[in-house]
Amino acid sequence: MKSWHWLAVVLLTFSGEPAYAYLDPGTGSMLLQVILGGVAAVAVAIKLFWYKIRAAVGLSKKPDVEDETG
Amino acid sequence: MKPAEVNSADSFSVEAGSFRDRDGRIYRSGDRIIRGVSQLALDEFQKLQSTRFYTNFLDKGQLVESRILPSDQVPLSEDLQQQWAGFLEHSLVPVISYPYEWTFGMLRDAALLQLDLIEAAIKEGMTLKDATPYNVQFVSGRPVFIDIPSFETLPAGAPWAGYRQFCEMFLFPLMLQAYKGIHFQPFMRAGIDGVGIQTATRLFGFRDRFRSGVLTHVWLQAKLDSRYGSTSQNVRSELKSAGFNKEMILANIRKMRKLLSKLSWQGDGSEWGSYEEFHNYSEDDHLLKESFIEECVAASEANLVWDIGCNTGQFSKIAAKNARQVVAMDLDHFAVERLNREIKAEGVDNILTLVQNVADPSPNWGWRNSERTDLNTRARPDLVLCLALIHHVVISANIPLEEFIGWLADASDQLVMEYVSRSDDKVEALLRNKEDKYSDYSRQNLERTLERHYGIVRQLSLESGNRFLYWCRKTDSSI
Repeated sequence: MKSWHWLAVVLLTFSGEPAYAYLDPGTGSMLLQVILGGVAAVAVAIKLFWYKIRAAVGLSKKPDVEDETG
Repeated sequence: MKPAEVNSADSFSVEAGSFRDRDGRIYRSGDRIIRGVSQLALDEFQKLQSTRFYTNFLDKGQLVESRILPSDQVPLSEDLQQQWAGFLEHSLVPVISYPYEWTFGMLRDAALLQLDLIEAAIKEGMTLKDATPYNVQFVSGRPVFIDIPSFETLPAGAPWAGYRQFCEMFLFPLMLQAYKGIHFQPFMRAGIDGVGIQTATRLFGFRDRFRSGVLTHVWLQAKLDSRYGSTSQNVRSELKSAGFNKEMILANIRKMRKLLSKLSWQGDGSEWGSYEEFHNYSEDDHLLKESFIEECVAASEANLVWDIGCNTGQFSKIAAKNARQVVAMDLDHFAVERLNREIKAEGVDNILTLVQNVADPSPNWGWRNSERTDLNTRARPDLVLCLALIHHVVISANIPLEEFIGWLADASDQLVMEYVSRSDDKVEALLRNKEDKYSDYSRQNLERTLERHYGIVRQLSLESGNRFLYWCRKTDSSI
């Protein structure tokens, strides 16, 4: 188990409980693939995290949205 | 496994399990398997044919053989021909089986094939759009991938689309068996989508989080699933903009393969015990029984034989010498697992091993109760071997003898039955702590019932005086 995985575990242990809405079953599993994607994926994770911070403080420049919404 | 030669046929049926993919549909015309495909699926197939990995896996017999059918050779109605852009023909799988009938080792072999295929595909710019064990079948003792339209071009920056499904239908069931000793088949039969992430996270306790793969694939995935399942953001495009690429999928797949190869299951003590003391009769009787079965199977001219309650599979192997295909079944998962390991090691290629309880057999279920079918619909046998099983069915499972013989007669036109008499110590053991309400369990009643459905062609009493063998065949008047 890499320290990187443990960081994700710690963050998620204190994260909120599910919001029951229209659940898209793929989303969480897609995000997990960044955590499982090895060293190369660390940069991707930081970028994703950065988007989330910007979104949280209202500075979000929407990432490229494609036709397909998954 | 060559596709059948073309001949004109005008009757065909739609395979009930193939409706989910909007880009294709399977039709069966006699022994031919025809798939109607959309233009998109046809283009992807042509691209697939040009890859190196497609040829490699085909050569190894791990992909079903497929070809594009010229339009004048499609044995389907005009209406259907108009519906699809093109048609593929696949070679026929002798017996279709389902993951809830497989053993641990079979499910793992299918999982490893799935990983090998996606890894090879990704390296050549393609991918598998799903990851379901129903896309894998066992032919000649080996897993073969049959759902050719699952291969598609890998979109840039896309994650592994089948990752979650792979976990729910391969990884979690295998981990349940390996880590907890919980048989996975009932879960796979209870839900068409396997063991869901939220179910898995409840099945694995706190201590299990320290076992390989549980913390990440089960617990973390369940957490992320709850946390981000309702996100309004387009995670797919965020991943792409953040630079997600195929190297990350490959890293995940390599780790997954390592995890799977570490998972093992060696049964539990009780099952080993029953194996060691399999038969309680003399060596002479054993030889007599073997030659009776060998002669009957040969004389029956059966193509497909079921051996129900196969235990060690020694009679399945005898049958396999004289029939084209044997399906060896037992409710004891570990007995079937052992047999599967043996036939793989020995290179026996015409026995399909399945975990199956005749008192609670695979049902018709799924969408409209026809997506997955019972075994008789998939592989009607020409002969059933039912050796030293009837006392378990009648006495342990409480199924009346007449009912059981009626079911056997519905299943097949021929039967080889071994009756174990009440004075045999195996039967005595079953009755020891039970009130004996089984007046139907007698040789006289058995013979009378057999004769109602079949003619008895040949019979043999073993020298112990406790075991009787019958070869029965439906006569013109009994059919």
